[in-house]
Amino acid sequence: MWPQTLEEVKKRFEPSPDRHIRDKANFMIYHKQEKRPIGIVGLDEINWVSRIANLFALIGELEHWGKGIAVEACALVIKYGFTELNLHKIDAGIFSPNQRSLRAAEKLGFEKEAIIKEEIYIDGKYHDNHEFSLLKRDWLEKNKL
Amino acid sequence: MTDTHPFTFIQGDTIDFVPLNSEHINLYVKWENSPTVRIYSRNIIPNTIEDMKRFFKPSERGLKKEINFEIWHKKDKKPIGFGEIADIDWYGQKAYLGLIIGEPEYWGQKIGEEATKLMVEYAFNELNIYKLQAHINTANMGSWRCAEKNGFIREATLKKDSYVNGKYLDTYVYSLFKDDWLQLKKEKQSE
Repeated sequence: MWPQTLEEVKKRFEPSPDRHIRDKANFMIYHKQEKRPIGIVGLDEINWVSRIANLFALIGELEHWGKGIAVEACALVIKYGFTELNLHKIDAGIFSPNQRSLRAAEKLGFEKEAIIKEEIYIDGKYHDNHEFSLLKRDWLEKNKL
Repeated sequence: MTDTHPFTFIQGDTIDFVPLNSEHINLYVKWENSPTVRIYSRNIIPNTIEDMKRFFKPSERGLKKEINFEIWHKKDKKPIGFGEIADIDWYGQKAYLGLIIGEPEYWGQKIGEEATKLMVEYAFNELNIYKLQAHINTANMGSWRCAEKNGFIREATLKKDSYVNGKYLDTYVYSLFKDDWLQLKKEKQSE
């Protein structure tokens, strides 16, 4: 929403205080053939008691949009979340102008739970937030695991 | 009907679980140092009032690694011990149970059994823990029997694991899984 300085981005690399339980697991998306980072993906707002987390993904290099890379990255993180972190449910919020992400969510097996009306102001207009979710048991069934 | 503590957190029949109370710190230190009590809880270094004060430091943000309670005797209206859920592994959904009845005149009255039951329920139903463990030395028969009464299984024996009164003693590792506990509850209900 506003310019990010190098210092602000660096802040995200500060280690969490001692004994603190981490509530996120972030990854860089590394393009194997081109040997360079092209985006980030991860789980944040992890609630360890209820075992629910929020999924996000960002392909920062525009020439890699539309190639299914975000879907592949999300699929890997979803598998990680369910099989390594033992999450019960993964949520994702997508704003209505982002058609590509809405399609990606459906491809990944997410179900739309709710539409939160006029939740974000982008480019002079309000847009809805589509709340998606994926339960572990549905994911297991879909992937025949 | 017995009276309720003003800060009751978990309600039992004979006892309640209540927050630690800094005004009872002398009592806590007494229990930690008492020759009769400490033998079983393996406190081999004296505990000072300052040591105990660490429990009253304002807690860090986020999830706690250990949760402590005072055990309050409802009829006698006094604290008699404490319970803890310790070393909580939020990633792996595991934790250890610890329990001290600091007043020996309350031993042998099944209070430990009730306290264990209440802590188990809390850990499984509120904290969503999957596996509970307790390390109990072989001489501490009261403790391991109250674990067994609550469905804990002796999972392992750690050989010569603690040095008590001039002798090495084994430690039993007891554990209880949420699934097995739910099954036990179901069986008890249908009896």
